[in-house]
Amino acid sequence: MRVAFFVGCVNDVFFARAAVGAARILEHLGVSVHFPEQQTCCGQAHFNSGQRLQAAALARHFLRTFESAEYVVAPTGSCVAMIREHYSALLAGDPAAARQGRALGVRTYEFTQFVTEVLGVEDLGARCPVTAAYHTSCHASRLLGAAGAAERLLRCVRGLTLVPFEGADRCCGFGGAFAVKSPEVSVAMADDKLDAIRAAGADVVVSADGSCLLHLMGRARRRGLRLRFVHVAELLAEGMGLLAPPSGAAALRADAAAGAAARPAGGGRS
Amino acid sequence: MRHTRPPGVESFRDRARRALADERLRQAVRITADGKVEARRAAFAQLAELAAGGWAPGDFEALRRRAHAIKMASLDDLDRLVAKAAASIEARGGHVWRAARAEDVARIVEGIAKRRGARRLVKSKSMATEEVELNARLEAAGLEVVETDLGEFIVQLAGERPAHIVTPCIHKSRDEIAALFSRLVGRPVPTDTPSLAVVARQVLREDFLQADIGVSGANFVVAETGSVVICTNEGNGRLVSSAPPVHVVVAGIEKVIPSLADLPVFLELLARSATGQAITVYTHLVTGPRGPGELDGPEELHVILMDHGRSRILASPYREVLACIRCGACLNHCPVYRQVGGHAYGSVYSGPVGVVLAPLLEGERASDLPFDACSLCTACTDVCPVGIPLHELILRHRADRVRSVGRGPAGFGTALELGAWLWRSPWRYRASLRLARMGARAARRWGAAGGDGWLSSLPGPLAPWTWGRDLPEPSQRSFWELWQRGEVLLGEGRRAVAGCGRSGTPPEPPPPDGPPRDDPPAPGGEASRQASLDLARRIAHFTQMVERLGGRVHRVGDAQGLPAALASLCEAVAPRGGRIVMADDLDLAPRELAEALRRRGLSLYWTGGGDVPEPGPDRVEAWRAEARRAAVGITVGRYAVAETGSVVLLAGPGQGRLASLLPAVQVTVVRESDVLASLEELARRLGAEPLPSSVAIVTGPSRSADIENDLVLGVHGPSQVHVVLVGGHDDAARRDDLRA
Repeated sequence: MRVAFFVGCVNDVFFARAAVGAARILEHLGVSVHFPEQQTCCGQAHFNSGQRLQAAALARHFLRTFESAEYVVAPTGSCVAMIREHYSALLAGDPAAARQGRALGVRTYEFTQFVTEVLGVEDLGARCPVTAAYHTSCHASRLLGAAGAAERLLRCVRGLTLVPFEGADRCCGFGGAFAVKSPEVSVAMADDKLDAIRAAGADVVVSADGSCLLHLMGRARRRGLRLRFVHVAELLAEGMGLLAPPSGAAALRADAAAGAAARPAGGGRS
Repeated sequence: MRHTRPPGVESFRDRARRALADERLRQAVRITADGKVEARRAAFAQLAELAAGGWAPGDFEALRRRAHAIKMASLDDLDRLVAKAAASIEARGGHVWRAARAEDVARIVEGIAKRRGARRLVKSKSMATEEVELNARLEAAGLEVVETDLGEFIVQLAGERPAHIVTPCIHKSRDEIAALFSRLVGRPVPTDTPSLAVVARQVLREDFLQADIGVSGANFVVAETGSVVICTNEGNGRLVSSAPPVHVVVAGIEKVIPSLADLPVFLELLARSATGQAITVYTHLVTGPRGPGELDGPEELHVILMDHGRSRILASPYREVLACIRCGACLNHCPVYRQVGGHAYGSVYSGPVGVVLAPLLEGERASDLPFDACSLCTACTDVCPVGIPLHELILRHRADRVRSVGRGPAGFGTALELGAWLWRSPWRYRASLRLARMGARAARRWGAAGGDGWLSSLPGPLAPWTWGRDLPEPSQRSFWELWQRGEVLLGEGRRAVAGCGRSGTPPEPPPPDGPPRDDPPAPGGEASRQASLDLARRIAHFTQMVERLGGRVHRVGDAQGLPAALASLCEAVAPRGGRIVMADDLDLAPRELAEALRRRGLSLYWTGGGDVPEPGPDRVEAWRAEARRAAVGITVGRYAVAETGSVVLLAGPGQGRLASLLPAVQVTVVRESDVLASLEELARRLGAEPLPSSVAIVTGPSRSADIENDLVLGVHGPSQVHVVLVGGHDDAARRDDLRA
C-alpha cells in the first residue's frame, strides 16, 4: 500500500519530529510512504478567516500535488477535516475541481484514523510509562469522528495510564484566527482545559493536533505548570523505538514548562 | 481597518474582557450550562431507549433529519404556508396581523390595548418580542408590562436584557435575586431557591388575574389547524394565554409548520435539547379564542406574524438559520458562551445562533462576532436539533465580510494574504518557513525570549498570541529538510520492535466511501409498532414516566369506585376544610363526590356540567374566585401519553383551564383505554377532529430551573400532580348511568 504523506504547516514548523514519528510508524506497518515535495499548506487558515480566494488557490495546489495518491495521510486532524469537509464546497465554482476535491477527500485520512480504521491495527507494541490525558481536537473528533482512534492506540501502550478528565470534548480555545482575535477568551478556555487535566492527575498531554498542543503548551508554559505535551505520533514512535528519546531543543519543547518559573503575564492565572 | 466597528461602539472583545473579569458571572454561567449539557446527554440517551422500545419515533439523529427536512420544506414554501396559517387562524375566530418591522409589532399591540382600554399586560417569555424591544416601546406608550417567566421577571426587575434564550437570568446568583425581590416586596427575602420562587408566585399570581392582555410568543404555528403552540415549564405560558381576556401572540413567520402530524417531531427534540426534559411541562395548543360554554380562556385572540428581516434572510444563503427552534443547546455547548455568558455578544441572540443571526438582523453593529466569538469547534452544529450547520454559516459570514471589504480580517488578514501568495509555490513556502525559524531565533537574541528557546512576546499581527501564551522555538529542521537528508524513514535498517501487535498484513481497506449512514425509519412502520404496545404495557410505562417526574398514578377498577377514590385522595392532599374545584362534568359523578368529600370535611365547587347555559360575567368571575381559593383542582384528561407521562386536557363547554393551573394540587382523571402510546399517536387522534380552543399537554408539576439551575416545583402552576386511571368498560352507557 502506498501512502502520500502530508505534513501540514504547523507540524512542519513546530512538530517535525512528530511527523517523522508518524511516517516511521506507517513505514513500520509495511506501508510505502512517499512525500510529495510540492506540498505546502491545505488553506485552512485562510478558509477559516473568510479568505476563500486564497484558500481555493491553496486547495487547487493541494489537489495538483496529491491527485495521483492512493491514500493521503496527515498527522493533523484539522487539516484533514479541511480537505474532507470543505474542499468540494470551496471549489464549487469549478465542478471538475470540486469533484476532484470530493474524491481526494475520501482518500485522505488523519494518521491515527488511518492506522486503526484502514490498516486495522490498534496495538503498536509501544511502551511508555506515563499518566496521560488525551486531548482530542474538535475537528478530529466532531468532523472526522476520529477521537476514538487515537485513544484506542494509546490504550494499547504498555505502561501508559490514560486518565479521563472533565470537559474532554470541549474546545481548548485555539480556534486559529480566534486565538489572536479573542486572546482573552482563548486563554481562559485553555486554562479550563489545563486545570481539568491537572485535576485528573495527568503528567503528559497527548494530542493528534499540533495547533491545540501549541496553544495549550504555550499557556502551560506561561503559567509555569509542570505538564509535558507531546503529539500522539511522537509518543507512539518513541514507545516503539522508532524515534530516539528527545534531546536538546526537542526535549525542551516536549517538556513544555517543567521547571519554568511562573511569570506575571497577561491573563496570568498561576 | 475599514471593517472595525464604528468608533464608540464596544467590540465583542471589550465586552468579553469585562465578563472574564467577573468571576461570579462566569461561575453562574458555567454551573447552568454544564448542568444543561449533562441533562441533554441523558435525555437523548433515554430517547434512544424509548425509540428502541417502540415508544418514540426515532433517536436524535433520525428525528433531527426529519425536523430539518420539515423545516427546509416549510421555508421553501413559506409564503403559501404563512397565508394558510393566517386563513386557519381567522377561520377559528382569531385576528391575524402582519408586522414587517419592529415598530409595527408595538403599534399593533398598542392599538389592541387602546381599543380594549387595557393598561396592564402580562407576558410569557418570547425572544421575538425581545428582538423588537416590545416592552420598552409599550412602556413608552404608557402601558404596564410584566414579564412572568421567573427568569425574565428577574431580568426585568434588574433592568437588564436576557442573557440566554432559555435561561434568561443565567448570569444571576441567588443572593442578587434575593436582593431584587427584597426591594420589590419591602421585606428581606431568604436566599434559598424555593423561597424565591414563592415570592415570584405570589406577586405574579395577582398580575395574571388582573391583567387586561396576555402576550406570548409561539414555539410553533400549525398552518393546517391555525394552532399556536406555546411550550413552557412554569405554567406562565398557559396562564397568559388563559387568564386575561385578550391573548396576543407574537410569532416570527418562520415558526409556521405545515401540520399537526409534524409537531411531535419537534416536541421530541425541543425540551430535550433545551433542558433535558422529554417534553416541557406545559405544551399548550391555542386554537382560536374561548369556545362556546367555556368558563375561561381569552375572548379575543390576536396573532401577529412578524417578518422583521426574515424575508431577507430567507432569500439569502443563510436561510437555514430560520429553522432555529430557540432551544439554546448551541449556547449551552458553546465553549465561548460558557466563558463569557450572553451579554458579551451585545445582541438579543447570543451564542452560536446569535453569531449567525446578529449580523443578519443588526448588520454592522455585530460584524465582529463571527470572527471574535467563535473558535469553530463545531459543538453547536453537533447538537443542533434541527440540523443547522451553524459553524458553516459562521464561516460564510467571515467569507462575506472579507468579500464586502475586499480584504482579510483586521490584524492578520494581510499576513494571511501574503502567506497564501507565498505558499502557492513550494520553494516560496519552504523559504518562508525557514525565514520564520530564523526570525524566531533572532527574536531570542533581541530579548523576546522567555528562556529555553521559548518566545514570550511577538511582534505585529502575532502579538495577541503572546498575550498569556508563550511560543515554543520552531523545530531545528523542517520535515522537508529531514526528508531531503534521508532522516525520515528508517528503511531496511529500521529497528525491530519487540511485541508489536501487528498481526500479519493489514486487511484490505474498505473502499473509501465515507461512513455508512442509517436511513430514517420508514413511516409505515409506526402503525405496527403502536399495535404491539398493548394496554398493560402502556399503563406500566405511563406510570413509570409520571413517577419519574414526581407525580403519582392511582388506579381505580371502574367508574363506580371513582367518587370514593377521589375523595380519599383529596383528603390526603388538601388541608382540613379545603375546597376542591371540578370544572368538568363527564364521568365524575359530582353528586356522589360532593357527598363523599363532605363526609371528610371538604367541599366541592362544581361548575355544573356542559348542559348549563352560556356562562355570563358573574359566573365567570365566580369561577375564577373559586379556582383561586381551591386547594385541589380535578379535571378530566381526554388522553394520556405513555411515552412522556403526559395528560391531555381539552377545553370544552362547562370547563375551565384554571382548574389545572391555580390550585396547588392537580388531579387528572383519565380512562385507561385513553392512555396512548406516543406523542405521534396523540397528534393523529387530535388531528382527526376539529381542535378545541385549548389543548394542554401537561407533563408533571410546574417547574423552573431558572435560578442557578436549581429545580423548583410549583412556580406558577401546581406543585403536585396526581393521575387517576379508571378501568372498566369503555362504553357510553356507563357514562350515562353515572350522569343520571
